[in-house]
Amino acid sequence: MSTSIVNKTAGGVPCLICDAVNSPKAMACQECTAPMQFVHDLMAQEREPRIVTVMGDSNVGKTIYLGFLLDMLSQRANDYEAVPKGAYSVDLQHTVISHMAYRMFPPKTPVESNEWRWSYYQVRRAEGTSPWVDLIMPDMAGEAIAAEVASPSTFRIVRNLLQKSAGALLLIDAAMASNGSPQPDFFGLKMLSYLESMLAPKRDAQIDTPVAVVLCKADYCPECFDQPRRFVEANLNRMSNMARSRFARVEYFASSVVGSLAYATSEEDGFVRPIPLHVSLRGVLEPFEWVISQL
Amino acid sequence: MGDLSALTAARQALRDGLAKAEAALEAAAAATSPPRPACSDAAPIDPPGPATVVEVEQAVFTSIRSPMGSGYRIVAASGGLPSEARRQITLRCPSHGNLCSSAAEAAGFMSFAAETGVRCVALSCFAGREHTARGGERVHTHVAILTEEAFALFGCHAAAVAEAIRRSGAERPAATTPERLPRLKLIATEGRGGHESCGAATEREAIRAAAGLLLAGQATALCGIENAANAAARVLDLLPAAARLRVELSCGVKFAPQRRLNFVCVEQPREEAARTLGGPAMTLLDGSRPQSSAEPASHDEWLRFAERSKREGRQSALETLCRRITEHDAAEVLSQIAAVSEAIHRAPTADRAALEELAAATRTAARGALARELQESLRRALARRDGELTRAEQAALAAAAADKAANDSQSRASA
Repeated sequence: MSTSIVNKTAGGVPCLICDAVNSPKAMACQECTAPMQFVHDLMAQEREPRIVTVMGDSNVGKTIYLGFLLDMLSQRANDYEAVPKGAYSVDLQHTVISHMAYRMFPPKTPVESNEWRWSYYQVRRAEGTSPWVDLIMPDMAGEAIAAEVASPSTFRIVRNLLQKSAGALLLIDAAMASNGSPQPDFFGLKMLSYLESMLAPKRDAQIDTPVAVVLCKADYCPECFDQPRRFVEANLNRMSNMARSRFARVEYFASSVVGSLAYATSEEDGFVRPIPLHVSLRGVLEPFEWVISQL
Repeated sequence: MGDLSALTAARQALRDGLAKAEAALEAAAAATSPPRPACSDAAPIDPPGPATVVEVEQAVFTSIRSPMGSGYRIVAASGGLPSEARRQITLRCPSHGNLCSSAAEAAGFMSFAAETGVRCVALSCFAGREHTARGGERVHTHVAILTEEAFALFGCHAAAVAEAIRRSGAERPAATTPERLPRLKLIATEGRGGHESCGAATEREAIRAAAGLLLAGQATALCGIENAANAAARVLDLLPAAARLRVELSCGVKFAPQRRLNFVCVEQPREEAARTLGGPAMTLLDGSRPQSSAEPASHDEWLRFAERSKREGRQSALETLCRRITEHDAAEVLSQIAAVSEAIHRAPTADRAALEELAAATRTAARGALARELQESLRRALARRDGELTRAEQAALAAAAADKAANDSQSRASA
């Protein structure tokens, strides 16, 4: 999973994600629709960018996790210094924080990749001696990830992105898993199997890419904060076995964003709507820190 | 003499009675038949011709929670859905917030080809609130998947397929959707005509320009129009089947590069459309303003012929001709077909001078089998007309001779 060196080719600019050559004025890659803004921003840095990909099923909470993670970084949590490159990089955290302030979950991310929000941050430890790392984190739609896993090359952008990723955060719905639903386990198993088939250097070799498995919505099952690995072994056994046998660097984390939830309904809606009453971040930064330490 | 006047009076009474009866029948028919839809949908002008029932595969792409997961995916499909079509539907159909309008009655329509030569025609609408309660409406898309042969029965006209789906009522979201659907039965009608012209003169100009660009193989976006589905149908009306097969279009659906369409129709004004379309990949035509010289002149003759045919109420004949042009649609081929077809239309009423002019169309080398066949028809039509004119001339000569003889005999008698 190495990133390409950003350089100008004759007559065009290569896309950071799929390497397709685009016109210098192009806003998005004509091949994979990734924004071309990164390329222009990265060219000035003369550094290899690191892409960290957040993966997860639909409605697992990728947008909200990524939004709060970026917000924590920009607020210098845990001595991190983080600089967003371009206003577009702030869009995601802005959307998430604003909605949560109004006690609403952020809108659903569409499957259309041109509507995904991408963030490009320069991150380093604030002590000053650690080097800057260029981090690119797209907020992908869970449906696109699931469709690509189910039928490879449907969403080439997902495949290209994962191939170029230096590390990954795999978000799993812990609340569903603790309720006995097999869906999170199967999604995790499929995702790891997809990564394995795409990244395995040779048969039987373990994959070296760091993968942080984040147990989201852990406020529904607080026991997973104590021993996330044991929680995974008990409730997500298929995925856990796959990770153990094929991935050299996997770590498990529990995470929650919402402190308390209320439920509301009205006659017009016809269904129950969860209302996030307050935000209480727990375990948001740790998975990211672990991935960064492994890069 | 008295008998003759009585007979004439009886005939006149009979004629009056028939006229009254016809008028009464027409009034009754007008009262019982439903009013013709205006520009609110893409209903054809002509009554449908003979019908064929076509069975096609179908799928529903939406976001519902099921034991297999949640989020936008194919939630129901008939048994024979090809895997490539499944992939294309997942990639191209609209998801959350991707209809152009947020009104409850918003609708979208798409047509695209799967790589295996299969054609997908998709109708989208809102189907209540998004189930995860994160705001916005759930987009429900019903897709009919047609084989090449089935699509040809509709004249390769995506709007005709969309009308057939609407008539079947299958596109309406159901309260519960079973995972396995039966094959969808659609009715394909022959000799259907063009679509009703609505909107300003600038819109008609833009539609013609869009057809010209599509014939020339250029990706086109049409904005600032009154009704996107109607405009798309009218553009398709002007295209021969070979060109219709190349058109992959969306109406009322937001532009997204991953849909890989070459014709996008939106009602938004130019400024808004330009923002979402982005980049120079598509030529943007504005239906609310006069056109500049965006339209390539190469297909002018065909487009003039097609527009004239529609204007003069020859939609069915135009549609029949369009359906027959399935292979070669180069500008020169279409120009010849247009010229010969126009000549065939004019031949039955042409005079001697016009016949000579029309015969010129038979003397150029035929470009393809259809042009050859049309030239043959033209020759027959010209010969028929020539015979009629000859007979008429002979009759006139004979009448003149008889008149002259009668005059002569009258003058001799008076002398």
